[in-house]
Amino acid sequence: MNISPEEAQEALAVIQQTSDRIRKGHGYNGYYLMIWGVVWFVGFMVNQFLQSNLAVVGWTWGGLVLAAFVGCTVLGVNQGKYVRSQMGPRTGFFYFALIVFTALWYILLMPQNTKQGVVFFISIIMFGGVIVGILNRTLSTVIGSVSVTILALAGYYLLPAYFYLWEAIFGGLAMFVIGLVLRFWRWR
Amino acid sequence: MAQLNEIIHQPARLRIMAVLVSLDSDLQPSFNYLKDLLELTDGNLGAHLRKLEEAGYIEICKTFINNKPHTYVEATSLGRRAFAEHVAALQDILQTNGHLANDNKKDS
Repeated sequence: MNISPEEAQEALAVIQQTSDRIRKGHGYNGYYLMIWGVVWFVGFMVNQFLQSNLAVVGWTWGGLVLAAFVGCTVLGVNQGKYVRSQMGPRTGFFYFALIVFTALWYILLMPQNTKQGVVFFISIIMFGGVIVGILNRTLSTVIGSVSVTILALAGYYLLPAYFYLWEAIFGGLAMFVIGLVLRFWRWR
Repeated sequence: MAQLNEIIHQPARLRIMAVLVSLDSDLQPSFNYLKDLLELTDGNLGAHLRKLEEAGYIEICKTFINNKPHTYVEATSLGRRAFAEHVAALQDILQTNGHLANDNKKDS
């Protein structure tokens, strides 16, 4: 089979356009990250500035997490109209089980204070991210999860007074920005 | 040197394969989604998918959701390799003819 350089260029342009369109239209991971980025940012900001008011902190986190779960479910259902994911439902069940077990370990181990409890939760959920990244063969998920853990530990040990603010910025805001990039960046 | 693939090179099949390899490997687009995206008719898309399936480049999965039939498509590893080789062959043609070099000069 022989084709001219013009035909080859045309074929490559068609491939590039199609790939761009797909990647732009299917940046669902970006949306998920943006949702959880907002939850972390708002939640930890409330933790930092209203930490004396435990009821406000508790209700804020409860409401945010519930809204995020609803948002992720709506996204998942919408995504399912166009594409079917082999790993998606299994990943969802895995995280659900991980959260239940983390809550159990939290009760059994009883961290000394709220900050230690937060680091405990973050490290285990990010451990889940590493496992999911390995199973899905997505290196970016593994690197992202390890980075979030290292940043959380750095904030916990180096800046305990501003730990929640640290998490809001380097956890929540960073997650939101990465989500934006994943959703709207046109990979070349 | 990479070889051009006659089955994949057909314009509609080239776009179908481009869609399938651009998605994460665990994602399978539905038949209707592909039809709308590529602006093909049912019969046309079905014929191209059959051709790709016969070559072992894609797998077609039929399932029922709420008693309604749904068809999903995914690229096989053989299909991904064949597509990558076809793209490499296209790039080879351009490189040997200096098109990429000219384009790069224009871009810079």
